[in-house]
Amino acid sequence: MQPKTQELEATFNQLAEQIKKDTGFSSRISDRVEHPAYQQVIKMGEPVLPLIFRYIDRGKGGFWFDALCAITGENPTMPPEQLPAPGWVALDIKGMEQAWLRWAREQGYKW
Amino acid sequence: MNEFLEVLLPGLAISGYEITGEASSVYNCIAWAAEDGSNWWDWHPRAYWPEFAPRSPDVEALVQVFAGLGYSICDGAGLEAGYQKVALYAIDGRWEHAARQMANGQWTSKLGEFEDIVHPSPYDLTGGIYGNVYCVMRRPLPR
Repeated sequence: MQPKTQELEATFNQLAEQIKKDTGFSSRISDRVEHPAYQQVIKMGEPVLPLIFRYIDRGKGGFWFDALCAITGENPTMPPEQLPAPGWVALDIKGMEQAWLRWAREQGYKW
Repeated sequence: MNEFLEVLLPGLAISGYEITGEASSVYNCIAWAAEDGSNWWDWHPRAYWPEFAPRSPDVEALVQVFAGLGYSICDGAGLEAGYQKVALYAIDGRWEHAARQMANGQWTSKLGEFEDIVHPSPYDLTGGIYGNVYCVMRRPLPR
């Protein structure tokens, strides 16, 4: 593993742990998304994607959907034609995670 | 988790509690209070929220969620024969948590993405990160 990659991974892991520590007891996704560490992950951009995919694939959760959408501009789990109505969307978290991992593999990401 | 939990919810250190389920980010406290172990109920646009209530962090929206499930606001949190109860928690008008009374009178709470616990009273969770009990609601149990 390259030093820069190691540094990126260490930073991501630290931020992910901070988010979980500060917001894990909350039932609101917005508390996580609005957390400064979450916003910092988004600013890390495309290079952080494999780390997010690995985090999800290991079953660690993290509610990374907003970050993934922000970084990739994609939304593989909720194409507009499938929305029942604007603002009324049922979330199956495991289903969304699997859809993102499927999308990542199709795009050639490895983690 | 225990020491951390008791710092964030200091009442639990006094009342006692039991961890009764594994950590999960599939469902949260609102879902658990509504007896749904498959969805994360939240006003966030990527989460599940029932159509009969406004999608809002306002605690009154959460009251409408449970009203839509057949609950109405009641006076006390004690065990009443023939009724199931939930307690809704809020800070500054924003909902924070929900707990559900079990048939034996104890209460069950899912703690965010962490474990669920059983505690003697809904008031065991007040004075910490979930604020105070905003209201208790009840619905008739099916006969």
